[in-house]
Amino acid sequence: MKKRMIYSVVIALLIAGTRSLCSSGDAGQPGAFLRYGVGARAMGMGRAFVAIADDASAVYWNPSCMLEAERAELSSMYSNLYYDSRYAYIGLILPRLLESAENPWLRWFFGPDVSWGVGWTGLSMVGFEQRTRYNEYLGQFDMGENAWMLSWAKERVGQFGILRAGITYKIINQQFTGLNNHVMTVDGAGPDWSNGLDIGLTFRPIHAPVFRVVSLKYLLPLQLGMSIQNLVQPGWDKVEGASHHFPRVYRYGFSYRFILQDWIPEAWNFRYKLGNMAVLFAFDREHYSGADAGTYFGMEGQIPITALNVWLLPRFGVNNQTEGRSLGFGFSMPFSSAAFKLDYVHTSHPVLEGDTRFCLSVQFRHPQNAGHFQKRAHDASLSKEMLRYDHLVLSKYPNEYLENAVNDIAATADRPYEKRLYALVGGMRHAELLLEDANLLLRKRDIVGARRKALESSRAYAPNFLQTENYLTGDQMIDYGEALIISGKMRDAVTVLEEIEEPTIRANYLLGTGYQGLSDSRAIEAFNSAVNQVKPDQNDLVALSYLGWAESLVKDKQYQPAMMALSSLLNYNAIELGEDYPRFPIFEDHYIQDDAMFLMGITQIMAKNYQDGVSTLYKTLRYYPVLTYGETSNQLIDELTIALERKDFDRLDTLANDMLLSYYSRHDPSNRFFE
Amino acid sequence: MKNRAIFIGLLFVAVHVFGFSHQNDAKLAWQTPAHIEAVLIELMLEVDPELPVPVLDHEKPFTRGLNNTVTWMDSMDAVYEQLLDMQMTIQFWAVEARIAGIDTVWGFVDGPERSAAFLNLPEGIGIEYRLRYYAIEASGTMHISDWSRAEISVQDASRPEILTFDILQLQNIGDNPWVLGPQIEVHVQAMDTDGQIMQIAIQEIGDEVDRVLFDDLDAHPRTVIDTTLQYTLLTDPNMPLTIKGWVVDVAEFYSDTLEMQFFYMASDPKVVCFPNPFVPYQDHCTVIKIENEEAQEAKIYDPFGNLIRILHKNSLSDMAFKWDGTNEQGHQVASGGYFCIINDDRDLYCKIAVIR
Repeated sequence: MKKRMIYSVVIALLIAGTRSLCSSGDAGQPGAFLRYGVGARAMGMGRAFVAIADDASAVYWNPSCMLEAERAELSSMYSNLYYDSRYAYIGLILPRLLESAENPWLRWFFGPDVSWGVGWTGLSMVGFEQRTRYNEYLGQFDMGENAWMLSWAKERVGQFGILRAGITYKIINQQFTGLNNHVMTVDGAGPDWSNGLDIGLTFRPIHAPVFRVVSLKYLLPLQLGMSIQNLVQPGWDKVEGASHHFPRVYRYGFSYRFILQDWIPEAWNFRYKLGNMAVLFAFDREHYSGADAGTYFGMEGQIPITALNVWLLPRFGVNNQTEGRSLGFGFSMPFSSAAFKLDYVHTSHPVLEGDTRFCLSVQFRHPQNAGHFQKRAHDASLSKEMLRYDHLVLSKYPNEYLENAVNDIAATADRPYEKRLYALVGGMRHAELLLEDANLLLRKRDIVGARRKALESSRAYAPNFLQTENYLTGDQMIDYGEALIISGKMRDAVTVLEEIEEPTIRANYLLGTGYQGLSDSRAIEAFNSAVNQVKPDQNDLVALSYLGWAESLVKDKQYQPAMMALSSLLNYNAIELGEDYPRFPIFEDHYIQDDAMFLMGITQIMAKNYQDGVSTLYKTLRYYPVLTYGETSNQLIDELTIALERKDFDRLDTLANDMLLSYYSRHDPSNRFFE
Repeated sequence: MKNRAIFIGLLFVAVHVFGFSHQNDAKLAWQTPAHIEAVLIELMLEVDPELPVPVLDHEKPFTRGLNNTVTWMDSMDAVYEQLLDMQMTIQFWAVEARIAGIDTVWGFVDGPERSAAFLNLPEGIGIEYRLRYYAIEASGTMHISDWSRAEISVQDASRPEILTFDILQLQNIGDNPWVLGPQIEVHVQAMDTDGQIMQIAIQEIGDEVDRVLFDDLDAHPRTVIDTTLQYTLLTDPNMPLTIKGWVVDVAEFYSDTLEMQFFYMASDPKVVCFPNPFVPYQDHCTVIKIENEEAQEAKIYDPFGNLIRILHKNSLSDMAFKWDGTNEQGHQVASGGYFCIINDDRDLYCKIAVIR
């Protein structure tokens, strides 16, 4: 609820912010017809499009975005502006035209990381009344402005992400036709030609510094974009000789696709019904030479209607330009070899009836979607190619090929980001890495951190375990169990570990620990199984299993077997635990012999062998004066000795009980590991 | 000389006895002819009521100049017929001009004469003219008729003055004044201190048109005129034309002529802009003409609806806005198409092309 309120406030502020920035009235600069914006989708999103533009309007908005499009697209837009003015656009983009070209030149100019686009936009105003300065009516004339654009964009996939750069060369023309030049000579009314250059950049910061702190899942839907329109400035010739240059327009912004599933808690079941439903947000800022800034904000709902194989795309935009707000709607129907899109938008106007426009687009060629890139990745022989395509698969998040891509990248060139990558797709490797992290934290005695990691790890394991057919191998199930034990979920751990058909010593030790945490006497059996699987390279586990076994036996008041177990442990040659011993329980040092001897002493007292018990505790003090239980014994030995001398066995029993409780409190997995 | 003195003495007696209403300072308007003077010596100074009363021709209320010639031509036929029946002939006429409150001048003219001229009359004063005659029987007996009914006229020797000759709603915005037409309203103010203005003349000079129209002020000449006249222009719309105006007083004096150059445009469409296309390098502004003066605000937009400029009128009565081709920040707008909307009314618009 709180989060939702925050989002609402942020959006409200954003909208309020854009409205408060009033236009300061510097309209009327040359080239306005190249700044208003083509495409119904862009207008529907309040013209916040510099970081989206993944359609045929990219030629106009940001040529680098052509490479974001999945298919070649031919798009046409028509808008009846005000008073018989017409504004139209036709664009064609051909991304990754010759994917298989082998000639290096062809590959460089038309290859799989290149896109071409052409576009035409035209403004025509008809029905001007030609009048002399005496208002003598001479007939009607028209005015037209046209721009022909040619775009080229190239993509580079690097360590930090996917960078795309594009360039648009444009030839521009303005002319007044139908003027009566016999009666009224109008200087400068002839056709005026000019040309200019735009550039655009987009960047998907997959592993970029700063952005790296955000997990890939939340980072991949982000795209940054910028464009400089009229980098080479076109201009209209002035009657007096000079040229009236188009202003240089700087635009930058970002788009973010909120995939609803990713932002809804897993506990909410309807989350899974949302499918790929998403909301695309975009925010742009605009500056142009000698003029004020524009602020643009837009959103698009992307609602798949799976049954009909169509997408419904409601849109809303707000900006600080004349139109202020816009409402649009799109409809997309994809097929395997083509797709049709129809977009509509209506923008308001404070005085006029507003602008209504339609845009009809046809997409063709097979979609260059994630699957396409995945396929290419496996066809390509070079690891560099693979990396590129795998990154492209990532950038199409979410898709069903992510896991393969992540595996590819993590296994080859992108090891530094292995964890980020696996975190994206979840699954075994992700779970393993998290478990490694958890264990690492345990070694550092960061119990809280370890528990959190272990919990994440167990969540990564869980979906596979919960499948009807358990996909986990025995080792993976053991890992899963370990993760659950670290995270404190003993019951789940036991459930998992019990399912292992051929339990290893580790499985049995973990199972014993689990039962111990649940105060279940089946721990005895589990630890017993563990110690019976003695293997030379698993001394730590054996030793710990003996200790666990003994603890379980003592708890079950089976003092004699417990003493046997402890005796075996004390005679075992690997009393010092290795660096990688399982940290549950965590020992303050790497020695468990003092623990075993201390427990032996207690057990002996509990078994009414008071003399032996006190003697063993005295030995603990003598042998391990600096270890934990050596010190503990030191504190109690005088009292125990006095009680023994006085044959005060009740007192000895009481003291032994207290010591046992104290021992349990430190060793019980359920309350000891994560103090 | 002695006879002459007697004649004058008799005449004075006659004036007083027979009702000559000449005042004491009455004087002769002109020299009495010698043969009349000779007759007068034997004159019987008695008005004969049997004689028909003469009639002066009608005098115009104002007489041009300081002189006035009174006539008795058209109105005397009946008198002549009667005298013929009575076997009398008119020997001579006595004509007088009574200058109210100032003077009376008079004189005799010979019988066959049908007019008498008074010279150097005072200006701006109503003057009453009267006439009587001396008729003689065959026996030689002289009779004198009663005075005719007075005709009044004022001498007017000065020109009227035209003070104002304006075209209402003339827009002086832009390089050339213009007005909606072809029906225009002309405001005229004029005065004639010593006379009365009789006519207003409007002359239109345009391409292939040269016409003068007179307005007779409904036949009620006035000393001061402040009136508005309807005038329909003959020149084609949007063509330069000149309108001249002057006034004529009843004495047919013409005032000076005032004139102005302008053009008119037809009332439809409601909003027009000229020159169009507008080349700021050549014309310092383009004029957006509107149909009535109620509109207070014009907004210039680019074809995408972006507001370029808000224009206000210089004065409330203007029927046009002026745009110099700049935006709100004072920067020159680019070559291209724009449109102008009046008072946020979508139906009141015009398209403007700017060429730089």
